Amino acid sequence: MAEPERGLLREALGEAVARLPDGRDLAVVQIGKSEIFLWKVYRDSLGVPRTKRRTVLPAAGEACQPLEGIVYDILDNVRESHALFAVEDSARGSAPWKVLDGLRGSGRALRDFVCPAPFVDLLREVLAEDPLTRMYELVTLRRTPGGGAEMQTTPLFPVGAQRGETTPLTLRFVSGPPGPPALALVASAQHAQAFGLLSVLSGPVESGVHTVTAELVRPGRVRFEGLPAPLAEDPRSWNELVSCLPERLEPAARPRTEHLVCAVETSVPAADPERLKERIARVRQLLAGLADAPDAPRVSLLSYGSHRFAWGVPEQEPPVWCWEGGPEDALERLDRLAARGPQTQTPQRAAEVECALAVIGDRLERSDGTGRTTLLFVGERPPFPRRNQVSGLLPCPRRRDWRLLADDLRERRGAGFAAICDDHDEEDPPEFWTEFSDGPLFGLDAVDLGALRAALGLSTSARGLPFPLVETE
Amino acid sequence: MAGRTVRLDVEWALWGKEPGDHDYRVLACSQSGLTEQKFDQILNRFSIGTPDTLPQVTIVWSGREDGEERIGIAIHESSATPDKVGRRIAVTRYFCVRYEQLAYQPVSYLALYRRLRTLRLPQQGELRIDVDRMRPDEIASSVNEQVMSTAALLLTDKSVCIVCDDKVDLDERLLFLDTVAAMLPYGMRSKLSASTWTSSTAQHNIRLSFTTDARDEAHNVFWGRPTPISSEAQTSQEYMRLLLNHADRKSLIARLAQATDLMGFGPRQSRLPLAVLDQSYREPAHGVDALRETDRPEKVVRSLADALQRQDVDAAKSFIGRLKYLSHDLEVQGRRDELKQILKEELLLSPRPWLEGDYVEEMYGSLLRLTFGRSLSKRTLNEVHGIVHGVFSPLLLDALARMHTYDPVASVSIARRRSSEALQKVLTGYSGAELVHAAAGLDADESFIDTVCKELARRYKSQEGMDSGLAEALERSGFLGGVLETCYPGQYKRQFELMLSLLKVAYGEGALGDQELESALNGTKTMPSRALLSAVAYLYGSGAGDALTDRFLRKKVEEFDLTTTTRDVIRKNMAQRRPKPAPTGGHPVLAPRQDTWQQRADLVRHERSETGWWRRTAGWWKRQMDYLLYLLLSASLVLLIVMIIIFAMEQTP
Amino acid sequence: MAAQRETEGSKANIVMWGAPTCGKTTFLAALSIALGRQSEGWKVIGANDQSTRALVTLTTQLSDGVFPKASGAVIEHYRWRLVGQELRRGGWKSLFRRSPVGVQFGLDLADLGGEGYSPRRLTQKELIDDLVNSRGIVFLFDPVREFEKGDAFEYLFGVLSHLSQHFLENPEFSSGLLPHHLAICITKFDELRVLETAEKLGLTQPDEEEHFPRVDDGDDARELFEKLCEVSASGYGGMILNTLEQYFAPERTRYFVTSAIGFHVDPRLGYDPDDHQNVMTDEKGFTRIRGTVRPVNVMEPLLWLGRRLGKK
Repeated sequence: MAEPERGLLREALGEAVARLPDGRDLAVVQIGKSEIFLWKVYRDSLGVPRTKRRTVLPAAGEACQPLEGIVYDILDNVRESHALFAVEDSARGSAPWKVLDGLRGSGRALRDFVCPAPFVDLLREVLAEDPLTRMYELVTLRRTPGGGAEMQTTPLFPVGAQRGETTPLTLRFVSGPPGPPALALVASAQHAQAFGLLSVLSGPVESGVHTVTAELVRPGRVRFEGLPAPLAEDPRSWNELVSCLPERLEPAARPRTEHLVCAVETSVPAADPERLKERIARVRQLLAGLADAPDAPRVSLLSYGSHRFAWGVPEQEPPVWCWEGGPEDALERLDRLAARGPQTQTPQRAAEVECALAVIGDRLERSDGTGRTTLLFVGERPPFPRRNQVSGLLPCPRRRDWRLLADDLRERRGAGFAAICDDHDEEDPPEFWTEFSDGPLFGLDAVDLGALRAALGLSTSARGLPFPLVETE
Repeated sequence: MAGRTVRLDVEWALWGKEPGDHDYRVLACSQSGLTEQKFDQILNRFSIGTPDTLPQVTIVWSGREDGEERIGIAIHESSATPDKVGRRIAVTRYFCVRYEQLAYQPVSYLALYRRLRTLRLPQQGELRIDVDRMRPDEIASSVNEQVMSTAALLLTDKSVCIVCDDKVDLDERLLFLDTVAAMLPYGMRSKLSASTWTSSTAQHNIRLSFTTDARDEAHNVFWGRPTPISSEAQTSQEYMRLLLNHADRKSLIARLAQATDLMGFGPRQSRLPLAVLDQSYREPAHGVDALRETDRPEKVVRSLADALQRQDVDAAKSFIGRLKYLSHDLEVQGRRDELKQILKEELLLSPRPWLEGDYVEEMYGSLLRLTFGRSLSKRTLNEVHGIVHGVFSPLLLDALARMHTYDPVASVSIARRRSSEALQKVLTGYSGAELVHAAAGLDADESFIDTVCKELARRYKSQEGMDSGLAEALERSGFLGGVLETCYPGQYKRQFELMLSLLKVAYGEGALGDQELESALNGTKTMPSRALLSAVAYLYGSGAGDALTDRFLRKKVEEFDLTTTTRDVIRKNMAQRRPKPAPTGGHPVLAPRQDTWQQRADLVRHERSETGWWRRTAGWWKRQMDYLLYLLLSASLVLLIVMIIIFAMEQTP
Repeated sequence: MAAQRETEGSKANIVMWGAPTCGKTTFLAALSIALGRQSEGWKVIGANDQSTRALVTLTTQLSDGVFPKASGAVIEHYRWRLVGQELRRGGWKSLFRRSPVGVQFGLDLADLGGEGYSPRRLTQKELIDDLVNSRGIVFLFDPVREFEKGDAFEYLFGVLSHLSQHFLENPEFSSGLLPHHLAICITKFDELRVLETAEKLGLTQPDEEEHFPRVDDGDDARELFEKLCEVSASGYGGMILNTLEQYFAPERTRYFVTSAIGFHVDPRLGYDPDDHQNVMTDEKGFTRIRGTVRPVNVMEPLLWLGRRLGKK
């Protein structure tokens, strides 16, 4: 008997779809006024329910087939599957109705429901409400301790989630070339490592932290709210997106540096007298790039060596070669510094970093320049300690403490710190220099100038990130 | 042994500290012969103090550590890295070579140092290096009186310090040490420790060294200044005199270099070096001692086996030379059982295709001489057979053939294995009688008998080399009847045929006469073999039975030495013919018993009449005495047991 | 057999004893400098050529800022004499007045690379002989090595057992105590960790002239020794003190806190507690002395031993 209520059909359909296993079909026979459709409901590889429709009795109604033929056709098609019959109200008494009669007469147990037209809407609604059979996750980035970025997924909706559920997210977008950041949605099987890409959306997003709400629209579709502009399907392939991932994350945007202080260590190992030239070359490279720029910062140049601890020879403060000059002045002074030549490293495995910091602090105190100051140290050795250490390093003769000096510069003057370190090893970065610099540490042998400028706050056009970064508290 | 260089297998150790180490230790070593621990002991024993200038070189001997003499050279260099607490340290690279490798191919310390100075140490395992051989002429040019007196001073029990300043450089110092060592018998290097520097305040164990300051308790030789030898050091003075007596320094050095017998320092052995230069100093007791200690053929053979294993041609040749020398020295006595064992274990008698044949044969010869003595016997041959498992290489056979031998069995056995010509040659060397004699000996085997029989037949046929003694020898040996029986048990036909041929050799073709029958059968005291009897009977022709009885059996019986009466009876019995059988129908007719009993009664009667009553009573007395003695013995035994029991009971509380 | 053995005179009557790297040779090298820095007139003189040369070499090296090289496994014998003056009451004339009297102590020293004392290499007969024949022992305890490696006990116990075995038959040993006088020197006082420990324990007091810290000989030094033993890497440190006290009579034992090279004293500013370190590491990692050598308590243990042995 045809069930009279629409609600019952909806319920039965919903239940049948929810129970539908992967790789199996659910057959639904829609008996309309003048036509009969055979619907097949199945799940795609990502667990999203999909439908296919076949016309069994054409809408035109020509009796090109005898009714029995149609009955057998239907019975053949639904034999193997779980079948439901939806009989639209309007069908009563029509030709399809007769088919139904024939079906009933076939002796098969039919579950037929009366369906207030149209059935398509009902089916669409049922499928949209189908609970998730996969977990939905968002592709995001995570900062690594080495200053790089690593891809990860942030869970959005668990298995069983239904339409309308929302998840709030705090994401940092970094816009910039080569393309806008994308929100890539993946589905993951509960017990499998495999991910399937559901959708990739992107749109113009300003760099910065955004609070985004993800809403499950239906299985296979998630809407992201909270972004200034609507998102559209991203045309880029997955590989394209991944290849946009930079090796190193650039520091969060900060005010532009208006005063760059370069401090170059002049002491070099006896075995490598060319080391100083290499250090100077790096600074020259950086300054040369700034020289043409209209918004070039003021540049100061210092050099520092190592305490000599020599009898009767008073210790000299690190010399200032140029203070708040233009890049050209600094370049010229740099030549003089190069001409003076290196100082051979002393047995003490340290350099006057602390004294250089003191000199810089002192000069800045007296300077009336404005804007942000960033310090770039180019060298190898760590500073002298303030007092005796078990390591055997002798203390700075002026008893300066680099930490106090650096903190003072940071707090009072808002200064930034960066360093190019001689023997920078990615695996085992030098302890002191890692602590010293705010951003990533640069090695002497291969400096990525763009990245260095970014780290120094000298460039605006930072590279964008293909995926958002998850902001962790 | 030509060649300017010497190939050496070097064990090594690296001694120092890793940057994190507090203590000196063996950092790495060859791990082949000497263990890390032994290296540690050696290097500790010859510590020289803490030198101001590096490098320094120390010559170090070892022998105590694992019973094998080694000469080592320790090169002390400064390390580029400090130790755990940042101090300067010295790193010592130590290399050592088994003395045997150096004994017959002398090498100078300086050459060793120059070769090893820049050598990189491997991870593990021995090094193999080529070093220039010591050249007496080169060293001779550096010999001066100071060198000689330094060498002479070393013969006392004090150490010798050469006092000099930094201006004398390392090479000069090493050359001096080399030259001093060359002034001593080479064997003393096995116990010489020397160093290009020692601390003058240190209590070290270096016998000869350079120092900055003189030491109270040592002989101090001041560089470039005259070196008097005090009259107390008498041996040194004598040695110095002997050195000075040799005008030709090159030959002096060569002579000393040949004295490779292990020789130590110290008063007990101080006259040995003198004896090297002048035989009149040889003291029998010491001399024999020294020989016994040094010339151990077993050790040389082991080293040779080692060299062969490594296929080290030079070393092998050198050891072969040494063995030859030893094997010809009548005083040398190896432990033969041990040598045999080594020959067997190390397969020393197996073929060495990579070594020149002359050397191999020389080696076999020396090994055989040392192991089995100078003459070859069948027993020796059997042992060699066992060692080589019956596989004789041609060179080994040559070597065996070269050995003295008076044993035809052995020489024939070898010759047969070599070639038919060789066999013929050997056989012609022996007279027929000798061959027969050997064949009758215990060592003869089937093939030898066969060979001898054939050879004798051949000689008879060609009528050459027939000797007068042959027939007699054959007769004496019973025509080898016993041997034939043992060699061809059950093969009667073969025994018979061989016997016929031997009889033919002895008496010529044709039937045997009575005289020949008699000689053939009566040549030996023992009974002739069945083969001989059959052959004689065969060759004698008709009447052989009677002839055998008359000319052989009768004689044999008569030879059996009985009393004349008994002999007469036997003779009579033998002479009496048995009665002809009665012609009655086939029944055997027994001899009349009566006769027999009658004869026996006669015999007894005759005996009685001869010996009389005393003899009979004496027999009775003797029995009585025996009985008494037996009784006495039993009684005393019982008494003894009783006493023991009583004694035992008293002992237990 | 070994070539030579000493003549009579080379028997050492004071033996230096301690684990490797504890600074035995540096201690001796600093002696001359220590004597040069005091104004009481003591001096050290070599008794034969080789000892004099060794004294000169060691002293000049150290004053050039170079530490002695690590000693090998061979015993160095130095025959030195401590010559000086002491105020003594002597004769009836000076009954109430002390007059300076010339005094001379024999310092026949045996110095062996610390490896020689290792239980793994036990035992060099010469070493035990030297200890048996000696009457004074300078036992050097390196707290830094003890902290890092903790093997002082190992180096002490084996040798001590052999030594006491030699004295079993000796009537002097009836009390179970060895007849030697023992100066226990805690070395490397200039090392930061050692100094900090002493400061935490409140055992330091400034030197009268130079103001650098010192620890009083005797009880204070003993307390520091005890505390330093507690931080031994092996946990056996605690047994060192007990063992020493079991074998040596308390009246014949004295503790000294020493430093062969002393503290750094800036010629202009004087001693600075923040910058007292007197050793520097050079480029290759070798340690050398930063400034002048100012031995702390180097002369005292030897003088004490000399006096005690002189009295007997």
